[in-house]
Formats: sequence, C-alpha cells, structure tokens
Amino acid sequence: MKIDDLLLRESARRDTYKAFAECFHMPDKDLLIRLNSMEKHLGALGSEAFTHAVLMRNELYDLGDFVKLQVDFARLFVGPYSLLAPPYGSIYLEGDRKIMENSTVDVRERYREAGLDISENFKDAPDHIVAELEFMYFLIFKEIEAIRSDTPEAAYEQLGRQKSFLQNHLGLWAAEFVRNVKLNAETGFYRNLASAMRIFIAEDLEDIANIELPEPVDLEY
Amino acid sequence: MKKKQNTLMKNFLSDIKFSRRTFIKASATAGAAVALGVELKPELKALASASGVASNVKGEWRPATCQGCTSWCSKQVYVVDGRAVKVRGNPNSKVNQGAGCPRSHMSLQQVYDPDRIKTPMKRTNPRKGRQEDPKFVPITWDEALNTIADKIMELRKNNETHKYMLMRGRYSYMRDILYSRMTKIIGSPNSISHSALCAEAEKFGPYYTEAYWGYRQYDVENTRYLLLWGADPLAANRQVSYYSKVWGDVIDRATIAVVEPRLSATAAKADEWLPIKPGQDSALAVAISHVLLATGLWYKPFVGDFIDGINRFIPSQYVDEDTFQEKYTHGIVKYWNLELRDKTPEWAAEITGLPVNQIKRVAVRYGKSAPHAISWLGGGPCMQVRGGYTSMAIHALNGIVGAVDNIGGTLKSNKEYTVNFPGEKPFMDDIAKTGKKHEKLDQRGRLQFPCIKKGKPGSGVITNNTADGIINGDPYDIKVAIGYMNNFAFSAPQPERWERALSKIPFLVHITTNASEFSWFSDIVLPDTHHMFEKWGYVKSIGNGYRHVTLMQPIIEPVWDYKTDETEIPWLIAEKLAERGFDNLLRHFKEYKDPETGKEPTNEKEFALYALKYATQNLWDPTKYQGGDKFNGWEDFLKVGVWNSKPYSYQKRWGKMKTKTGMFEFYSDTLKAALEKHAGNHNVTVDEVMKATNYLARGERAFIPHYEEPFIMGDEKEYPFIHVDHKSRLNREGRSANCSWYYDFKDVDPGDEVWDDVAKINPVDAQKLGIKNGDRVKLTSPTGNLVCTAKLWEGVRPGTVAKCYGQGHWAYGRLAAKKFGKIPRGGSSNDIIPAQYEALSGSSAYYGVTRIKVEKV
Repeated sequence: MKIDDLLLRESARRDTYKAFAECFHMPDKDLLIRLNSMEKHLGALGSEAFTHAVLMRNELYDLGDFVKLQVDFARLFVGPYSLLAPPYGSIYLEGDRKIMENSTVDVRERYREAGLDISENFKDAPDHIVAELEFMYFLIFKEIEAIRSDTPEAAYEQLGRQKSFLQNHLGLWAAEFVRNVKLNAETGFYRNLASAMRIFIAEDLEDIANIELPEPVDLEY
Repeated sequence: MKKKQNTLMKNFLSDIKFSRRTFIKASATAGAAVALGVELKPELKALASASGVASNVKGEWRPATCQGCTSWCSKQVYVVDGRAVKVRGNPNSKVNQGAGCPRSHMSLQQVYDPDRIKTPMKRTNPRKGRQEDPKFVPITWDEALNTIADKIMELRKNNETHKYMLMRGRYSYMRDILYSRMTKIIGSPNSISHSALCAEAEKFGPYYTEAYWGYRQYDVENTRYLLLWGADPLAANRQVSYYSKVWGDVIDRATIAVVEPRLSATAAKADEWLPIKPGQDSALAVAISHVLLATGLWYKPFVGDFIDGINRFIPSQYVDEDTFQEKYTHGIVKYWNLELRDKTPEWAAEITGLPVNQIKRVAVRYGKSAPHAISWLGGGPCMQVRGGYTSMAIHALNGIVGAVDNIGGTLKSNKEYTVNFPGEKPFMDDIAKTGKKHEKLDQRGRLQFPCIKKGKPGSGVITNNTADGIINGDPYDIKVAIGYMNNFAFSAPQPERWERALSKIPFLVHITTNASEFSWFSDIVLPDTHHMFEKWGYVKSIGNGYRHVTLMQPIIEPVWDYKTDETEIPWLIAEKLAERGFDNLLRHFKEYKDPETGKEPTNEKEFALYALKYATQNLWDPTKYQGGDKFNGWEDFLKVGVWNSKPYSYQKRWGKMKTKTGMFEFYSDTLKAALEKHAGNHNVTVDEVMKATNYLARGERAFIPHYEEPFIMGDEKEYPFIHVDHKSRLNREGRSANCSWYYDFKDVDPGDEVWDDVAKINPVDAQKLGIKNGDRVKLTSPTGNLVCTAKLWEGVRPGTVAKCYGQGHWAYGRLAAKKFGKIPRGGSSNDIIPAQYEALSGSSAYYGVTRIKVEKV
C-alpha cells in the first residue's frame, strides 16, 4: 500500500470512529452532517455497515423532528429510569451493574498514558461509549500524524494502543451493548446505528487482530 | 538511522495491509484534503488533553455520613483516584465508634448506579398518569432553572405564591434553606415534610410524659432488662451499627424481651418473644404497669411512695390520691384509678393473645430490674390509628421503673451547638407575607387533624393527607411544586392517591438521585448529589450516651452532572429569580458569609460550603468553643469528620422536665392543655376532639396513657388476616431496590428469601388455605392488593401475615421493577395499607391498620 492510500484509509477509519461517537450524543440538527460523513467513510472502507448508515439517514428524514429521537436516545442511553442500553464498558465487562469499576480505571489509565483525560465538560464516566469511540479516533489521529512525520515507531505505538484498547475494552463490550440498543430502540435510526456499529467494530477488530506488531503489547488490565 | 526508519515504514505499510475489503480511494478523496493537508488538532468533546500523569493508586480514608437509615452514622470511605471503593465506620464517632451495618456498603451500588439521573431532564408528554410515559429528554441546567424561575415568577405576578409547595423527603440539616427559607421568601406556607410518614406518633408518648419530642437513646450497656415494642434495633432504626456492635455484651448482661407479632432480627436473639396480636400493645403495656404497681415494683426514688409505705394499689380498688407522695412524677394515682386498676394480666392475656404467665413473668422481671429497665418504644405499636395513647403507655413504663434519664434507661439527646441559618423575615415582601398566611395544604389543625406537635395544635405535618388536599383543591389548588429526595407515590400508604394528586399539579419538579414513581408525574427532574459522597451537609445523631454532628463532604469525583438539593439548587434558582427582578432570595443567601474570611458567596458551590461552615462554626472555631470535642479550625474538623458532645449527664432533668408540671406526667397536664387548646380553636369539647380523631376515650382518660381497642379496617370474615408490615435491615430507606446486593442478601431478614419478596404466613394458616411454600399469592385489603410469593414460616403469629416493605417499585430502575413501568418486582406493602392517621400526631398508620385476605394466583 502506498503511503497516501494508507493515509486516506486511516483517515476514513479515524473519521468513522468520530462519526459514531457523535451519533451517541443528544440528537440535534447537526446529526445529518455527521451521518453524511459516516456514510462516505464507511463506503470508502468497503464496510458492510454502509447500508445501515444510508438507512439511518433515511430514518432521520422520515422522522421530521427530533423529539421522538431524543426520547428514544434518553430511554436507551440516559434514563432517567431503567437504562435500556447502558453505554458503559463496566456494565458489560464486570458483573455488578455498576459504573466506575476496575475496568473503568484501566480505561482512564489508557487515556492518561495517551496524554488525555475525561473532559471536565463531559460529565460522564471514562468508559462511556462516546469517550471510548473518541479515544479510538484520537489514537488513529496520532497514528496518521506519525505516518506523516515519518516516525513509524510512533505509528506502531499508536496502532498498538488501538489494538489493545479494542481487544480489551471497546471491542469486547460493543457487541453486547449494541444488542441492547437493537432490542430496545423504538426508532429505526438507533436500530440501524446499532447494526452499523456492530459491523464496523467487528471489521476493525478483525483487521487489527491481523496486524503483527513489532513488540508485544501489554494486553492486561 | 534513516535506512532503519525506511525499513520500519515499509514494514509498517506491509503490516497494515490488512483489510479483506477493498478500499475505495475515490470515495475517500473528499476527505483527502483533511487527511493529507495541514496538521490539525484532534477535535475532542468527551476527552481533553491532560498532563498524562498516571493516577496515584494509593487511596485514603475520607470522612462521610451514611443516611441509609436515620441512624446517621459517621463513616469513612476509601477513595482511590477520586473513586469510592469501600466503606467503614468512622472510629472518631463516640456514637457508632467505628461500627457499621450492612446497608452502608450498598451506598457504593447507589452512587455508581447506571440508572441514576445524570442530567436535568424535561417531560415531553404533556399528559400525566400511571399509563403515560413521561418521555423525558435531557436538557441543560440553564433551561431547567429558567423554566422553574418563570413558573415561580408567574405565581408572584398573580399574587398566588401560596400555590407553591415544597415537599421534603430525606434531608440533612441544610434543609431549612430549600424547605423553609426559600418557601417563605417566595411566599408560601406549604413546606411539607415527610416526617409524619416516619415516626411522629413515636415522639408523641415521650413528649406528653416528659416533654421530649425526639428519638430516644437507650443506655443498653448499663441496663438489666430490655423490653422492646415493635423495635428492631439490630435491623432498623436507630443506631443499628452501635447496637449491633455491643449487643453481644447486652445479651450477657440483660434480659431481652421483644413484643412483636413477627420474629424480628432482635427477637431472634432475645430471651422472650411476645408475639402479640397486632394493635393490642397498649393492653400489654397497661397490664405490665398494673403488675408493677400492684406488686410494689415501681421505683420509689423516682415515683415516690405511699406516705405510710403501705401499697394501696390493690387490683380493682380506687386509691386516695392524698395517700401517695410523688417525687419526680405527676399523676401516678390518677393513672391507677382511671386506667390501671382493673387492667390485670388475665384481662390482657385475652386481648393480646399472650399467655398470662408470660405477661406476669415479663412484668415482674422488668420491675425487679428497675431502674435499669428500658421500655423501648418502636414505631410498630404507635404508628397506628389509635397509637398515640399506646405511645404514652409504653413510654410511661420507663417512668414507673425510674428509667427515664437514668443509668441503664432511656435518654434524650445531648446538647450540641450548631446554629440556625440567618432569618428570612427581612426578605419577605408583602406578597410573601400575605401568601404565607394561607392554610397549609395538608389541612393540619382542622378538628379531625389536631397534629399537636410539642403541645401546639396544628403544628405537626400530616404528610399523607396532602394528597387529598391536592386532589380536592382543599383549601386550594397547587400550581408549582418541588419535591426532593421523597417518593410519596411509593412511600405513603394508598399511594394511588398520590398518583392522582401529582398528575393534577400543573408544574412539578423532582430533585433526586434515582427517578422514581414520584418523578413519573414530574415535568422536570433534576439530578441530585448522593449524601454520602457528593454533598456538603451535616446531620446530628445520638447513641451510646453521646451526640455527634457528622459531616457530609464531596469526597469523590462526581461522574454525572448533579447539583446539591438543599444548597446549590436553591442558590441557582435564586440567581434566576434575581435576573427576573425578584432578588430577595439571592440577597438573603448572600448573608451566609464564610465565617473565616467574611466573604459572601458568589456562586452555588461557595454558598453550599459557607452555609455549612456558618451552621457549624461553634463546633470547629476554637474562639467559639462551647463544649464537646475541640478542633483547631475548619480544616481540622473536615479531616476528622465528626464532632462529639460531652457524655450524658444522668438524672439532670428529674423534677425539671419541660412538662406543665415539670415532672414526668402519667396524668398529662401537658396533653390536657394542648387538647383543650385545640378544642377551643374549634369551639368544641375535648370529647368531641376524641370523637373526631377516632379515639374512644372520653373525659379524663384523654389525658392519661390508656388502652384503646385498635381500629383495624376490613371485615374479619372477608379479610381474615391482620397485615404486619416491617422493615428490612437492607432498606436504605426505600432506596435499595435498584441494588443487586439487596436481593443477593435478602435472607438476612428472618423469614425472607434471596431474590424474592415473600408474604410470611404461619404454616397452620397456610395449611387451611392450601398454600404451599413458593406459591404466588395475592394479598388484598379493602383499599388495594399486591402479588408476591408465599413463605410458610413459624415466626409469624397465626392470624397475621407479615410482609417486608421495600420492594414493589413499578418505576425506579432496571432491577427495581421487573418490567419497567409495568410490572413491579415484588409487592409494595403500601398498596394494601389504607391512608389512615394517628391524628393527634398526624402520623400515617402503617401497623395494625388493615385486615387482608390471601389468595393463590
């Protein structure tokens, strides 16, 4: 693969993660822009998730206003009652249906090692789906930077972080999470978002698993 | 070096050639400018750049306070990198002395419950009702506060500020800011507390005998006999941790007898269990009193004696009052003549269903242990329709044996030195003054609701009747209401009334940690801080002969976007009101200056902190020291987390009680004055008050402890069983239902089962009904029904069915409801308990109040 192609491809990956992260914020009029970006990048990546991204856009047009979507968003990811699709890693990785568990601590450690932390304005747990998707976006961003600046060691490092994070966190719980979304969503938009994300993360997980990194990556937490 | 780099990059390119899918470059070219163009910064929302310093894994124990029940223990929480990890008792408290109880640990599941309210939310479905999903959506704090302020300003504009109401559930002593000051400055009389759901009738007896309106502490380590009435101190309220810690020694030193139709946790470890017929406690109490007097076992250094030393308390005979010289009591002979003389153990045995020998044995041994003999009044016998006089009769036993204010006896609270917040009066304008003059919505003070707290008719709350006030618009409609840390649509008997009442309020706000049945009817829900980990505040509590004042502090990093109910939220509302031209509340709040710097608060966080420092200054400021523990300053107090009073001074109140006579009153001049005042307010006689409040006593008996036949709803033929409600040692008030540990360990309550909600039925009764262990059963009372699982258990008196309170939520969280919004997990006792009152105190009746039938479903 040529370096420009690689950069294009990685930027498509990067922006897909970003677009998915945006989809788990409270829906508003900017959602369409995000969907356009997601559709384009999934298409470029040849992802099977592409169809679902198209369907999401259609659903959005059909809905007319955002109230129904916002209600569904709240039921699934915010509450205030039984949270139907808790967007937290610890719920799926540990047994107590609690947030801020040991796996959450590990996630936060990974952010810190990458020079990040939870933003003060975010007001949610470190292993929230938005934060984890955004973290993948950030790691790919850094990988691209490294490739561009011709520092493959750094690129490897960022790729290693992605692999480890996907294999130990996001990739481990995303499937169960999106199953909850799919089961409980009342709008086609979120059902398709669930399908799209399940497919995209499975594809990315498979791809990244095939990469042999020069040094073993610490996969424990 | 460069060569190596090139090889690496080549390897990288070859390594990364991983996708089985075709990369469609053309589709991505639109992104090429970004991908190949100038360096941009990553666009982050959830994450932000940080120093990258790894966390310090070593944690520390930080002081806290548990409000899982009203023991209000001082705690310590192990905090690692801003995260609460475990809990233990605060060893600095002389009340709980480092001890804990199971429920404190469950706070960890609460604070990190994914079902917590995370952000302000608003209702998008304008229709209200149980079948109407509110369809909440997240909004900003700004939108929420603006809406609330607009609604309040509308009331002020229309001169109808009395139509604002504040409902309070669990509180800290920061409560007066939101509950009292804000309500009054807006201009409403309607601050409605939950207290009458809690225990006011339990305070009634101690007040009208010794003028103490409060919970007692019991000197268990020095006692020789403990007679507990519907109290289960090893499981529920109060000082569960302290009593659990010392109970082994108590068992060694004292005889323990428990009066309760159900084998409680405490009864399971007692010497005597008296499984009394529900509602008949006053019969037993007066019969024991009868024995104590008839056998000369009253404590003479306290009560006094016959002048000639000859006992004239001969069963059924009247005694000449002049023959007896009382010391620190008032009316012992009147008590005998008006009530006790014919209340023999034989008479009581028939009524209570207890063996006559057991009554005699308990009475004599209790009397022989005088004065180190406690009659421990729990909620069970007095939170009943006619429980006010039972409360007196049970507490009067302490007077007879001289255990009041005595070693090994019943004690009041020690002195502490916190102060009230600045007064609201200068900030109440004419609108507020006029508004506040209206009658309160709970109708307290009406003829049938004397609610005579501390001797003042109409001064106590009658919480549950507020629902009827709202439904009937009597005395008027409520237009804007705020509730905090309450859930009257679940915690009050016959809660369906609350569903209708709350549906009727046009604008309702709920401030709480977990959305509940109450929130279901709200227009806005606001996320509250958790008392143990996230708020500034303090509470006071007594036990072990001490009083402590224990601090609540924000000791962890908050995860979601909550604000504190009693301080931050009223401040933020005050700011919004000021923006709209009404700045009285904000100006009032600015009076809460930091005692250290003299600075007035400029935001909600400073306000919360300064208010706490202001209220507790006498405890931590060495220049203001008045007694008890001494600190070097605020930081020192924060670190320790708890202030302890001086130890209890026994017998100091003998002869100096705040009753009308200064004595411990068996004949209550204090109650007489209060009842006469209430009767006078309505131009009726005390007998008419008795009739209006569903009491049977007439004449002088209204002023003494006495037996009243219980008022139990339901025809015996249709409803053959008497319902027995009780509390769990895992109930964090009503808020455990979304914690998995509650279900995992539910069998710590005698007779209960893990992951189930059972009605405990005596096997003798069950056999007659053909009911087996594990059958699904429906319990039906005249006012409602619930479905749960049958448990055959010998620990419940035949003819009664016991059921623990706590489960049966239909809207709370994922675990709490079996099918959210539709099918509750287990059954809520309140669904079968009718809305009845002990009207003299305003208490809701929870016990011995209804008959039920049991059917297999």
